Amino acid sequence: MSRSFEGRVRGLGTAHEGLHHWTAQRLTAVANIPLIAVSLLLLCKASKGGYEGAVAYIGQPLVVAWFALTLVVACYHAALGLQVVIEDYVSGKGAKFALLFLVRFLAALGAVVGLASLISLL
Amino acid sequence: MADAKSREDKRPLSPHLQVYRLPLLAVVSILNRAAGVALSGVLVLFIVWLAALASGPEAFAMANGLVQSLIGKLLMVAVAFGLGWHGGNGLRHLFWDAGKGFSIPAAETSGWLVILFALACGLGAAALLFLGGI
Repeated sequence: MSRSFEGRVRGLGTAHEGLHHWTAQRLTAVANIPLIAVSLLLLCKASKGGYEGAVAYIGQPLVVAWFALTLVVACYHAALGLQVVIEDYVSGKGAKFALLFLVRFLAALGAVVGLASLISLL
Repeated sequence: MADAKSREDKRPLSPHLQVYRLPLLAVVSILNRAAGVALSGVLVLFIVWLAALASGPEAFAMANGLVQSLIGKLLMVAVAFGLGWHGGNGLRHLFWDAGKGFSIPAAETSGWLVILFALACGLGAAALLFLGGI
């Protein structure tokens, strides 16, 4: 009994998953291009005027929103990319499980800390 | 001794990294992965900087002092280079995903374009940080 191609890409193949990771990695990659480019410009503008200037500039609602979106997308993309690196180079089952858990935990933690910081600047 | 060799020893070895000079495409490819891992670390630093900004003037002065220091500025130049490298390579991968640019000459050309783009990003950042007074 051979499975249909769709059956395999829908998660019934040897890795039990894959298409979602592949799609998400590329969607976040495309989104990262404008998100990070504009974020760098905003950071350049925010860097003038010391602490007061940075708080006033980054605390603007649209800047907070842009940074928040960038952070979430970048953390997600980083977690997906690090996952592939771990899957490729770490062969021990336990170490792989622990590292994958750690990467996801740190990505979520980073996003939450960044979002909390941004919201407090509003 | 020969019979003590494990089954793994008889498997073919390729490419043997100590004696094999990686072609340009392989170097660009592995450095793309390295840049991605490094940029994950940069993301952590950015979040720490944001948290310092939210924590108040003292924390921000410490974090921003590091950014404004010589080492910090050199790190920013490296970040710009890494973003150019990973972004350029990412774009190249998207073209490959669409089935375009697969021939070896095309891949070598796009590989060189990525190298030049990353260098331009690094040089641009260096000019802004050391000459432009950001």
